[in-house]
Amino acid sequence: MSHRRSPSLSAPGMLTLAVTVLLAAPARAVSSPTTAKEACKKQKPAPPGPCNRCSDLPRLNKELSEQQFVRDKFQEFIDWRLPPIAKPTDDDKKKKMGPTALMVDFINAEFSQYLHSPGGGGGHGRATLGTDLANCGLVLYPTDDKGDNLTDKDGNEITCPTNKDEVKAMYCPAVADMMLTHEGQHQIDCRNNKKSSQPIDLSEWRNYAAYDVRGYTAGIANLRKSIAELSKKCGWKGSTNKTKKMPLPPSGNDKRTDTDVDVIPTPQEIDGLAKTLGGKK
Amino acid sequence: MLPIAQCVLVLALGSSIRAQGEKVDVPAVQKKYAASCTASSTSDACKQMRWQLESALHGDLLLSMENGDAPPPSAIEVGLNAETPQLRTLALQIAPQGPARIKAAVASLDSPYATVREAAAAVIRSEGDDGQRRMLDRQASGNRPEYPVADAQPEPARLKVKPYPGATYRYFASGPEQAYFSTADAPDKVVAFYAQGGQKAYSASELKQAMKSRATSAMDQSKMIQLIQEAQRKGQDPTQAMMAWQKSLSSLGSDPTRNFEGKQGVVSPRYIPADDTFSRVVVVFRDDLTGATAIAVPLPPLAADAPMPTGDEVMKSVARQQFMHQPTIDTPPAGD
Repeated sequence: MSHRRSPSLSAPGMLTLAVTVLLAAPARAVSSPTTAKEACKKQKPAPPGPCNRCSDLPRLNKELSEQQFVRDKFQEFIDWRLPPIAKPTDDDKKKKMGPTALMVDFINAEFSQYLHSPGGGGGHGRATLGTDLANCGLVLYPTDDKGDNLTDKDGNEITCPTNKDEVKAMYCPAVADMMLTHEGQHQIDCRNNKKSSQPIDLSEWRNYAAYDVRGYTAGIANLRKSIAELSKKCGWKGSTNKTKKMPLPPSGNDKRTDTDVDVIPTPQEIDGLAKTLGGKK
Repeated sequence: MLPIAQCVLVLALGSSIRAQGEKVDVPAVQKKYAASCTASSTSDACKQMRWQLESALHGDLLLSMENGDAPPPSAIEVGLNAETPQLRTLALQIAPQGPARIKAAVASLDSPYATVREAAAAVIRSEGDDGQRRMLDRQASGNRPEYPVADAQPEPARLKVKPYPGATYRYFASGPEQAYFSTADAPDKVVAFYAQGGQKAYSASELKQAMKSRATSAMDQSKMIQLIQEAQRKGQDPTQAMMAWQKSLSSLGSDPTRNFEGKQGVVSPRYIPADDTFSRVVVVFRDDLTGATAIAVPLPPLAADAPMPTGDEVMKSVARQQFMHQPTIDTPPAGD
């Protein structure tokens, strides 16, 4: 069993700690509603923990499961599902939502339900990074102390312009790469749409679903590659097939209907790799 | 430039949704759970706490084994009965070979989680007796998600036939195309239930004959004209009547007996059409592989019940198709 040692709390030590905590706590507790100016004030994030140890494999696999869950939900809207309709009993905010917002709201609710199922591991879903369609730039969603996305006085989520370096400073490499690849796909699709002679409305729900599946699939492919590489370093012998096909909706210039993604160990194999070789780096 | 009205949506486009993890104070949850819940508690709060504790135990087990410690038998016992698929899967893997493990594996075949069923099947394959191993032949094939999401039992609206009272939905034998139920009642009693209201129970040869007769009658053009006239008389849309007629014809081309006749463990299957068009045929038989009476209910594709897109939606879809066929204007994605 692994145990972290608590610092020795002698009386003078305890006092120093209490003073530090008291000084640190109220430094900047931004909560909703707030303004973009206040929410986007740069603050140095805590350095991310590592994710290149064998014992990190279950955590990366959990991240992958979550991404695949959301991707598959958007795929349902390409295959057969229609956006829900607001009910008379819904609140005013929901009643004002269009089909795209209702679709995203539905997927968020399904994701939250999944996270609170026995296999989900708890927590709640939230938008983390995004692509601003006006300029195809990268934006992040700042959060309050509880980890909820900050909103303005109208209840809209606030976004702040960001860049790759900032993202890399916030997340461990495998997760940061996955997120940047996901958004990188959106940025490419966004720029292509802008250059197109017949741009489409990317906020229309069918297009939104298709382009989000493209983003999730790109991120998933990247994360699967990281997991496969780390698993091999941890003693995984690999699988007969190195890759498998994952469906991909085509876009203007990208005619592919599927993409190759790395085959990774099964969840049982991942547990095995994590427990036999983990944390020795 | 995009219209102002779209700005809110524009900002939200392409956002990566991730899970915001929550920190769990395990000792506090343990204390609260011990004080207010039991293993059979069904309240949401107790369930959430149980799952949190099971997740923590899963993590602790991995850490302890990483350090070379043998997993304690009590933890394995908890794991074999866990609701959390990750813990149950791990426990099935690490439990010592013996009756407790095989018993848990057989029970786990009915887990709603494909990942748990896979681990259970692996145990049964290596340690099960002949009867237990034969049960694996009843496993439904088809792709399953790689993540631990529970398969959902089809809702009555999708099932479209009454569920047999007291029958158990068997996850391992069910799939997107068929729901499989088991009951201890005799096949005759189950057949009598589904034949209520004048439905006939057929043997395979009788069913094929009945479907052939039905096809001959349905292909009669006068029947189609009759349907259109009837719809007009009732003030209904004749197109809908035509579509329903065409749908009924398509079902006549399939063979509901194909997956049952001559298959291992299937004894005296009887076929009960749930409607006059033979679009859905419930199959009842004695299943020697599971040792119970089986009820197999075919399921329509998920898309079949989805509403038709509106004209506007069709136009938008066409616009996207056009966009897809434009010349290349940028290099393909390179992982950015």
